[in-house]
Amino acid sequence: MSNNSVTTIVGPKRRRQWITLVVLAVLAILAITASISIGPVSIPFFQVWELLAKPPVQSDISSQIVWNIRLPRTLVGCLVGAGLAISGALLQGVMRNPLADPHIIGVSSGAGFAAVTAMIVIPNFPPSLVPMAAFTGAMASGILVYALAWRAGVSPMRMILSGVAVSALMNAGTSAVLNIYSENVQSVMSWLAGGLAGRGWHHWHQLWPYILIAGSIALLTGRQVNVLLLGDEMATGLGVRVERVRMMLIMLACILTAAAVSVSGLIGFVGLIVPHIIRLIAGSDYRFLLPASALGGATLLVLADIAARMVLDPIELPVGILTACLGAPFFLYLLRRRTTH
Amino acid sequence: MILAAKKITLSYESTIIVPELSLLIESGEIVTFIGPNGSGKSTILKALARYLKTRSGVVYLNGQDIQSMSTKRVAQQLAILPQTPHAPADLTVVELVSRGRTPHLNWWQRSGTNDYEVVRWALEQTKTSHLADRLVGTLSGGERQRAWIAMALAQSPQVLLLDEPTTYLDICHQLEVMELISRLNRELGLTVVMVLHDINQAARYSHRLIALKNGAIIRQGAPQEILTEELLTEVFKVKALVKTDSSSGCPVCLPYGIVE
Amino acid sequence: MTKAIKISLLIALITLVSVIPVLSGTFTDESGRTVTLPNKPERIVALSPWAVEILFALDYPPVGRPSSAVYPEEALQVPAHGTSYRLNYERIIALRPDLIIGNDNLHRSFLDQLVSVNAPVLLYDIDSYQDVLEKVTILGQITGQTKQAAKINSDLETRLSKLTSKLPNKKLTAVVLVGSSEAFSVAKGNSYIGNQLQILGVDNIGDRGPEHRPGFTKLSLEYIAQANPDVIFAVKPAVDPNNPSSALDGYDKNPLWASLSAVQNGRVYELDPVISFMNPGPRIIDSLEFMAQCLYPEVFAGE
Repeated sequence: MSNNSVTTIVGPKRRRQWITLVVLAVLAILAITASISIGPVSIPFFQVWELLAKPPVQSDISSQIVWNIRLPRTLVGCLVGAGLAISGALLQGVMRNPLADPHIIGVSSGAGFAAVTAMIVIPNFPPSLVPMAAFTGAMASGILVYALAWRAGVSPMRMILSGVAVSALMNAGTSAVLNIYSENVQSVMSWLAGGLAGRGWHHWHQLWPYILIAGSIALLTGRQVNVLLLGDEMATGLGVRVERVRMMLIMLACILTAAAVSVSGLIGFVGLIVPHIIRLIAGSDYRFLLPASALGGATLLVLADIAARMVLDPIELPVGILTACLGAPFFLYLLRRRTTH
Repeated sequence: MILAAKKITLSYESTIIVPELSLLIESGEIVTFIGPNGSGKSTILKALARYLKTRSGVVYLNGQDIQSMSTKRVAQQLAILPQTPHAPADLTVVELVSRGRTPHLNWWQRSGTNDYEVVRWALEQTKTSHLADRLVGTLSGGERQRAWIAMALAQSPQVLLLDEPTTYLDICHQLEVMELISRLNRELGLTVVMVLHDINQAARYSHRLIALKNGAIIRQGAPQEILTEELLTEVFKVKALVKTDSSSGCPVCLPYGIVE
Repeated sequence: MTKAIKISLLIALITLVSVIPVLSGTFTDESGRTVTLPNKPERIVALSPWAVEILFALDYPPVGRPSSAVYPEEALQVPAHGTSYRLNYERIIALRPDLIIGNDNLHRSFLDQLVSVNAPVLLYDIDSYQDVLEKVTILGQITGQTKQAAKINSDLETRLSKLTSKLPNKKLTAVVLVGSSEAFSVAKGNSYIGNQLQILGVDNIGDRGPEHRPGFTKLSLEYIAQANPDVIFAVKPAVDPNNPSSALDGYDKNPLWASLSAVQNGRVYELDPVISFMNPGPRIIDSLEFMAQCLYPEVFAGE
């Protein structure tokens, strides 16, 4: 066996991974393009891109729509989708559990509880601070889950159970608040259902630093996660500081989820299913899975958002419904194809 | 002396499993722990691998306190194969073996030519080159163990710790694995510390046996010296005949009853 | 119109006007924000049906309405931008609004998202008859239709005083059941519908219970049976116009229902959810008149 033959054996799989990344990147770009070009108010395709070529014009409504409504909404959708997908992939790796998703660590329910409390209970709470309140609640909840699961280290099982328990507690708190103050339920419900409607530039600014920084760090942890997948004992045997790495990965997942949920509410399904879709296409090497999930998550959410605002125009559907409608059949198709091989 | 334990006490929660045990492993030896369930064999192995923290006492690797070394440093010299290693379903053999290079790479580094060379060599040594792009899950028991051993080899260790490497294999594959370990020890000078249930395998393939009971060493030495009917009665509570295989000089145990 | 009524109307109007601090074009809404409108707004987008109704009454129609605003009939000509509950920002911005009017308790949490639309937003709630008069006045000031506003209010006051002057001396007890029979709430005096009971001089059983949410309480049928009101009103938000179900459905499953004297005397009435409850506005007077007929048929028969 020659020196190069290891690379020739690894080669086909590597190639498949690279092709998948390129295809996903192209899909993401197409999705973004479509999202900026399509909306309830129809603006001709070329005009949309003409308008983007120059700075926004205050008096031109089409320019306003494209620059201040569609563009930020699309960009927020990209980062939220990417953040949730990376978070889901990280947690599935860390917990060694295929059913893990970003909402399992109690972060999202903490965000919901904090947001609902801020919006309803506290009188005259400035609406622009709601995302920040949600973020604080999310992080506090995540830290609580981790602390409760700690016992000379955090085992995946304890983490999951702790997350389930804290989530239940937070959700109960949210329900209690909604019940007591149910006059204001409607507006809060649409926040809880999650969506990208009305997400503007100020939301983008609250989102991108977290997703960019935590996301970039996460993308570099691929090798560590690969080793963690072999089990705690094996990982230690390979020189990985299991507890430390696990804590860092959970913290990254926490930050990504908190940032996403605080801006766009609870959007389910993306974090759970996108990593699985990627795995079915080109395997679970995390050095590839993480960036691929980011691209896949962004694409799925942006496409789902287009559908959410166009399918029943002028009524906007919650985007979580559409992510399930788009993602689930595709996932099932892939699953069937894979198992018949 | 490549690996040593000095008066180590090991416990799970508050129960002491191993009270103040000391032992030495010489470089190039094959040492096997034998003993009944609950005697602490796996526990001691995990402590030697730095996976379990000692309650008191020190483990030395190449003369250095193993706790004072980083996990990574330890992994560059010592490899462990736990009882039931688990690999993700879509992992190929070559990918698995490549994981063995982890202790030698920083997290930002990409695998280099040297790493590929080591992986190739590890596959060759374990005669798994032809299985390189097979999925680990599709291999037979013996092939899979060889692949895991290849991964351990890719760590370029001086010491290999194996926790019951043959327990779930059929007899042919058991011998396959033991022959491989024996050859690696002979040809590469790899020090091997194992836990085995099969006393005859242990006798045939080890330089030294350490018989444990309730976390303490009852007897240790060459198989021919220590494997006696009395030892089997004392440690394993079985009545057995001990014969010597004339061609190899190894003792063979033939249990025939239980001691009340 | 008698002189006494004229004077009281004048006083009422002046009180209303002086209660609301108005500097030319500056308004403080119920979310606590102060908004300055540089010019009279030409393109108002309404987020709630009450704003549509009042603006049409002021002869100053909005350029956008929520799909639930279907009164008056002319409103159907106005483009619907979406629903009250899920706002469609693209459509709203396409209407080029220079003012957006909505509900405080519903839309306050959307203020953050309305920033992208880049138009001033004023939020108000209507929880009582006085609120109706107040908001008519405010919208009159905003649109410069102060004369029409005054006329609407004076018409309302006239009809109301005609009503109240005929109210008999007796004090009836009543209760308003809101929602479906499986999970109903009871209106308290500080709700829109409870306020109507108050105006009609009725002792509202709902006032005896603790608020479980603003304006409403939860009373069990046992408690209501014990209080034994003279009159029972029931109302349910209209959900499906194609499949109307009565607000009274299901109560008779509870054996206590038949024991209530109001039920035995046939003093159970269903209210029109739109005018009594869901779309507050000038039509409150229609709701009041209907309730008066139910409460005091001997006085208001055939009106």
